[in-house]
Amino acid sequence: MNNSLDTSKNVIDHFGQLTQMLHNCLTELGHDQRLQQTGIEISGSKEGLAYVVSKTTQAAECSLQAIENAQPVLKNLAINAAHLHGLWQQLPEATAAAIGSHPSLDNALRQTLDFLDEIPKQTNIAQASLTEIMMAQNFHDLTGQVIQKIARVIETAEQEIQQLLANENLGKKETVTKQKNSLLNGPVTSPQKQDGVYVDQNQVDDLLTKLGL
Amino acid sequence: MTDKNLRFLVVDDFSTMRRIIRNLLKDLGFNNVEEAEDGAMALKKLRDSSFDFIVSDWNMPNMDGLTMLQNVRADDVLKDIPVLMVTAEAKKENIIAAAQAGANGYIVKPFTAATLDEKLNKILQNMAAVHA
Repeated sequence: MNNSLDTSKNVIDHFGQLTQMLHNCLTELGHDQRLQQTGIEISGSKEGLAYVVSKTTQAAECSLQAIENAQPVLKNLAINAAHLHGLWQQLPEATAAAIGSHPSLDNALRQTLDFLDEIPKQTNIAQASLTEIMMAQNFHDLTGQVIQKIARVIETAEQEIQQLLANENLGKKETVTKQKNSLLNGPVTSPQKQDGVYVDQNQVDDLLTKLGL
Repeated sequence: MTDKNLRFLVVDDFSTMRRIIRNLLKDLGFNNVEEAEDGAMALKKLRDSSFDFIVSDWNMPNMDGLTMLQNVRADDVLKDIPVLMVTAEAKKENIIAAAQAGANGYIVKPFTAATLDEKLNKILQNMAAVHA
């Protein structure tokens, strides 16, 4: 028992000496300046990420606002076109006959009615495109979650570098380790590298069916 | 025929996603929509007034969607409200955990308008069948 304790102590002492040597070598090589430089660069990356978050938020919100403004315009256009179409069809028979006997007027009326008839179909197509643009804005949520995750990694790296630099003068301090919650992973960025991820809704549905849902 | 006056609570920490879901619900004829930005605020709103349907994200600060779902199912007043999860969490374990906690549906982000429409209607039909 004592023997094994002695051996452990020797190993730890030896390891301590090696660490000290490594530390001295790195100091001679100027690692502390490099660490400081890295710290500054990391701080810059944090600002860069914050910029990306702010710009993408602005872009997504601007798009959503524009879509929300355009939707009622299209809706009213379709309703008014249908209403006008109806009004023209309620003309008294004598008036309709009089217009019919006037070739250029008759042609203009038919084209107008065709046009009014076409408007709701066209606005439906435009509405569908607006919905597509709106759905594309979900990039903000997905990339936002990934950026938040990267920001946390950077934050940790920054703290650790500061800790390392502080250790030069203040001796050793405990580093904070965070427990990873395996159910909070955010969007899947590389599905081919991860097992057990369901990026396709059909896979999700199959699994839910198996689970009796 | 689905009751278009159903009251929805959309829970997501990203305002853009809440807005997208709100607009999609509007397209489907549901105009009675409230929002909450995390599970804790959602539970408060759920307890302060009455809701018929919850659409929730998973990964949120303060209280995540799974914890909120578990709280809803454990609450005698709220336990029967259908919960549709709409989340980027795509691991098998996530889907199983949500199903076991009593989720009524699970949609993986990014999703399409058609997917939300389909899942929502499926849940609403099941609700109608239970109440019939």
